[in-house]
Amino acid sequence: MTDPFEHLIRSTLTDLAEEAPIVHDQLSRAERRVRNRRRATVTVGAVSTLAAILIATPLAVAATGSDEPPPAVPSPAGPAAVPSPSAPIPSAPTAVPTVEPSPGGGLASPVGPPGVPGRPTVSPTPLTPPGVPGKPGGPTVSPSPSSSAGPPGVPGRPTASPSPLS
Amino acid sequence: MTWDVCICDNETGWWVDEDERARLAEFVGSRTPALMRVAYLLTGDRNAAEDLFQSALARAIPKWDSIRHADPEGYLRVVMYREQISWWRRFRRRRETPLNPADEPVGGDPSGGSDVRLAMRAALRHLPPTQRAVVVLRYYEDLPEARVAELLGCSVGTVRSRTHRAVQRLRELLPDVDMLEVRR
Repeated sequence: MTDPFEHLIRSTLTDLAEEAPIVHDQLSRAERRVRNRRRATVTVGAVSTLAAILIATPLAVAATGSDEPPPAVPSPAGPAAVPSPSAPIPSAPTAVPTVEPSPGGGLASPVGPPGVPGRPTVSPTPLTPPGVPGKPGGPTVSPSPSSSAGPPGVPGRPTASPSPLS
Repeated sequence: MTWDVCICDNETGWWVDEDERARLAEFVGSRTPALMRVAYLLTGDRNAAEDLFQSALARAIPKWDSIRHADPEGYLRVVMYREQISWWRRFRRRRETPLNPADEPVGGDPSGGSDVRLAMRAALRHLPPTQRAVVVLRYYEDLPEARVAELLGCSVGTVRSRTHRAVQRLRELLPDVDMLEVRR
């Protein structure tokens, strides 16, 4: 069914179509537009990727470092990084020899020859860690346990400490 | 199909067969007037019609290998119809300021039927793109509603309602058309 109004629409559209512009060389222009569109697409993609990386990287680093220390720092619960010395290093005799007065009286001389009755003798105190074994018969000098330098030495052989009573 | 001579477009990066490009150029040269008429009816403006046609052609060029054996003209028409009513194109069009003097409303002309046509032409330019596309497809292309719905990607009911609103709008814009028809 076509009423006069619809017929008027049709005839007007037909007249209007005849006034369409005549254009030339549309293909090359369209190809240029395709090139520009592809270039824009690639540029936008690259910029978007770069922006995403720039935004996400600090966030990822912050999220990683909030709970636990960075991976470069060794954790305290991990294996001991400092190797323990397998062999004890003998410490230098740093202790001051203790001088005990002998029952015979007199001052004990650390350099005096041991074994002489009536003379003060130098005997190792039980608290002293073993040190360098002293020469038998000589005054023994043992390191004091209070010395803080160095690990404990090898237990020294008990030195012969002549007792004044023996 | 011969692939003897292939050229590589260094700027675009795609391979173009020389024979296929010649066929594409031949197709564009032969069908441009008809397609430009449709574009002009859809847009109502010469520059906008040229832009619409180029935009549709730019979309068809990368797919030429797949549409060349089917219906390239139908593909171009569908692209133009949908591009015309697309949201992005409408957004761009709003920023433009039409300065076409033909958009001015036409008053009564005692000379006869020409003023009716001019008034109808001005009224068609005042239709929104969706209604204008439906009017062009229904009254210029003489397509049934189902085909129009298929081309525009909408339902038949939508096509009916848009057609009804478009005709109603034209009647509102041309209140004296009955009187002018009588005077003819």
